[in-house]
Amino acid sequence: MFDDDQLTESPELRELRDSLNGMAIPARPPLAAIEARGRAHRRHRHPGVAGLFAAGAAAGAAVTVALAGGGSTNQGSLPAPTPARSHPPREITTSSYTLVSDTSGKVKLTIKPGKLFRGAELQSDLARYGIPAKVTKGRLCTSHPEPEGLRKAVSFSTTHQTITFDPSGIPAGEELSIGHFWIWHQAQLVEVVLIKTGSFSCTSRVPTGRPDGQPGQAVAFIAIPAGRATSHG
Amino acid sequence: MSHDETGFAEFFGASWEPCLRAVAASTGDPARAEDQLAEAFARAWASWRKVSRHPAPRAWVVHTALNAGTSWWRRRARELPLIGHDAPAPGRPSPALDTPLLNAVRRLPDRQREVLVLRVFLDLDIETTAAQLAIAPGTVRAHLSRAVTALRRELENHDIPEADPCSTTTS
Repeated sequence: MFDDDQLTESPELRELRDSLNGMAIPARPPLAAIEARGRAHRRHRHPGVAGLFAAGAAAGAAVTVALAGGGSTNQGSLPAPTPARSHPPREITTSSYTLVSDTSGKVKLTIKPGKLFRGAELQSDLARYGIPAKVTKGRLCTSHPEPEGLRKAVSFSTTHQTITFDPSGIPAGEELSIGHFWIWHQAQLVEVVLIKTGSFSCTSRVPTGRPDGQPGQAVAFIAIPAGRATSHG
Repeated sequence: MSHDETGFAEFFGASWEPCLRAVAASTGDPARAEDQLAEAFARAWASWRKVSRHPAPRAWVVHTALNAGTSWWRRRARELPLIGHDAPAPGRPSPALDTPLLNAVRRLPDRQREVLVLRVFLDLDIETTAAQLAIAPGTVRAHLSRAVTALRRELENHDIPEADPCSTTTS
């Protein structure tokens, strides 16, 4: 048996430390995204508080963004502190999408055809509006059994390639899973499902409807070709 | 921003990188490690008053992330590749993590690997590691000793084909 110093300074562990130190570390996710996910955990643990949270969200989303922090980008530094109970901007425009909120707290997402959006950025921006979401690129996360009630939380425009989110329609303990896929010739597919926070699995298959292949209410997706847009709900 | 929120933000900023190294080294899959760690930090945020008083909050986060990974594997359904997409195949180590030593770490028994993660990757002392795993300090030393021995053996086995002249073929 070795003593502790011998063990921790052994060549094997030194090499182990060196190999880890040489590992490339991707940028950490925005703090606001972590907080939004954490908030969903709190709502799950305290359903009584969740009702108040939902009511606040419906009234104007002021409470829901109080802890969301600022900034939708992550450049290796913490987001600037945000005053408590600050309002999110009415509109966020990036090179690939636009988010616009209305007075009822609903938020409309318009994805620009042919423009690749960054999942972490969209997830962070949605969090600013109090919309807990897990945005994944090339993967979709689902829970089994699937939570019901997606239609209360999300609606799709069949003509304007828009997705409208209603934060008050997302039940406590659940969040949205938004899978973003490039399919061919710059066409994009965005699929949205409700998942249980902390209880889901992710797959990289191209979505074609429900995970079991059956049409249903629990999944909706929108296809955005490079030119004309079509959608399915 | 409240005192609690400031504290969490500082913790998150300082801890993401070392915790990601620890989880990625354990899983071999950086993308999955990121997901698991984000989930663990979200849970830490939700329970920050409790976690902030934990003797080793980073250990709490890493332990939670690795547990989330276990559940993830149990739930995981079959995966199909996405044509033309650049997402890495889940479950396969990235090149940086696909070294003989890290592969050997991932083959260690769970407890030995947990001790390595806390003691070596997170640099916790023996007592804190023992408290985190709810085992005696002597047991931590024993697991660490066995882990080092196993790693040494794995590396020696890995090196043998290159060092052994008998393994060289001649024509």
